[in-house]
Amino acid sequence: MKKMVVLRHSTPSRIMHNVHMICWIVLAVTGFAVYFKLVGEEVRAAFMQWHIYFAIPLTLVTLGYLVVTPDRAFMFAKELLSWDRDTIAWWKNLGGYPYKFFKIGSPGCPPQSKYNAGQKAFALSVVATLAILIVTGWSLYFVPQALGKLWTYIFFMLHVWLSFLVTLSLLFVHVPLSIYYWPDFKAMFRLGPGTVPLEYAREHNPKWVEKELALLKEEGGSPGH
Amino acid sequence: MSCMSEGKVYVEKPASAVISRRTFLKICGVGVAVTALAAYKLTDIVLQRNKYIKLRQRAQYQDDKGVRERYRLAVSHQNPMLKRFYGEFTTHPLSETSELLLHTGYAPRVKTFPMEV
Repeated sequence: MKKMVVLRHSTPSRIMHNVHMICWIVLAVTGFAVYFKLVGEEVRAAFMQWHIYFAIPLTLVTLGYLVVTPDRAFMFAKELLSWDRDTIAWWKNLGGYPYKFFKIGSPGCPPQSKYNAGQKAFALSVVATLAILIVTGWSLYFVPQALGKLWTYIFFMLHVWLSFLVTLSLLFVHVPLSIYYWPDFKAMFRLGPGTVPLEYAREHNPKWVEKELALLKEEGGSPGH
Repeated sequence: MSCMSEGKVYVEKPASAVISRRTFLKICGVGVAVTALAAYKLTDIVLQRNKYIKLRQRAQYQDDKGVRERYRLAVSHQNPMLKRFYGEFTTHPLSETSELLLHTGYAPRVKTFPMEV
């Protein structure tokens, strides 16, 4: 039986996501260990070096995504900033998640696009935090004296506490939900195409399937476009 | 699961189906221009602020060099006055006490002394 699949995560998006993930883990461990003094002084000094080393690929892959694949970056931004009636309606019962997990509220979920309203809000907060972390981090590293005492303090506090909040939400919201949606998880991490079954996409992202998809190839047939 | 068993593969329509090449280039152009202007302004601010910091650093180095030459010291941290200061106040560099007694604060003079005065 022939399978119908949808390319959920393109290769550039997967490279960006996975490099970000690895770098974020190392940066969070080293950064919080240094800030909260969870390790000895010498280890803290080494961790601070690692913190700088891993900030380099994080910054480069972010800029690379914008420069090398501006079309993907545009489509990603367009998706995150497209809020319609259904996106707003999702917030009324949080897409039925409270009902799904705790039998609270109503089970209904208005049709969503490639990302649901919660994913859009979360992704926007991560993108904004990432930009702030890159700017504040490198400013603190290269030009702390030019920032002055007040701005150094503000940049440092933003750097620490924004990353702390986002790391908590990544750990307790993003990771569990991504594992819960296993086909999506596999599309991101398996050593193959970043595809999900069409039926799965139709169930979770009906507006995306209806309006924004085109046939790429058909086994034994001609390409769609 | 490999592509071999897949019958039909769907993808998102390309960006060119959503906006024209001209609009896309306009957005990129505006983005690059805004980034370049912001980078230029920030570099200007940093260089301006660093100019005074470097002057201050040079003056401090000269003072320090004078002390080292006078007492024939190889390194600054053997300065007897500083050793005595840290010894008597049982403190260390960058401590609260040394910051209170040794560090200088700056304020914009224009605000402190208005032009009319």
